[in-house]
Amino acid sequence: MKHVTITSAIALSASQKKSLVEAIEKKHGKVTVTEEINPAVLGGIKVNIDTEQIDASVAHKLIQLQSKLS
Amino acid sequence: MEIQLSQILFQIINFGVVAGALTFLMYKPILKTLQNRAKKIEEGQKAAEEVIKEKEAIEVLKQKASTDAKKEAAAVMAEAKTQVDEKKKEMMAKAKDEVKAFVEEERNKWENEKAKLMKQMESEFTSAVFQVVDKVLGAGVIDAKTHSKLIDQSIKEVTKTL
Repeated sequence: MKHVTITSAIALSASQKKSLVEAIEKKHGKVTVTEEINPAVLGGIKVNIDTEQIDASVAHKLIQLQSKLS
Repeated sequence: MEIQLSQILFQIINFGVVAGALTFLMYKPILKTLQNRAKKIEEGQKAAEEVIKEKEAIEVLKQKASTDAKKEAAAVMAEAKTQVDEKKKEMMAKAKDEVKAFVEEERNKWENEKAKLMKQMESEFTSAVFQVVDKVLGAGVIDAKTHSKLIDQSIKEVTKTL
């Protein structure tokens, strides 16, 4: 079973968490979930599925923007 | 008229003496003079012929020298022209290279300057964007509803990536 860590600036609502976990489980099967609150992500979420990371946070987008501009 | 033998004999002797004297004193010197003159004329003719031959030989040499000189001059001119052409080409190529290098250098300078300015502008822009975002997010301008919307969008992105 894979372990999923969801990082966000504020806590996800129950429906948000449910839809997200359902989408992940559809692809990876049953998972265990840990939620982390980190204001450094600024907004949005960052999902770690074992070693795989999907970063959809505002902080990551800003970093991408910065690297494109510089 | 009486023929005197002695008289005849005297006349014969007299004639012989005169003839001998004339032969000895006149004929031989005149003959010698004529022979000398003929010899001198012959020598003069030979000398004249030699002079003519020498003149002709000199003329031939002169023409040969003239032809050789012309050929040599033409060769020198051709060589000089070749050298001038080569030098000209070399100088043109050098000038072109110099111009190209100068243009390239100026272009590089301009590109560097442009890149520097762009980088500076981008840096300033990025800095401004970050300052704005930082102020907006740091000051708590984003409320829970906006955060929720951002999370919804992120969930959609994560779902698509999956």
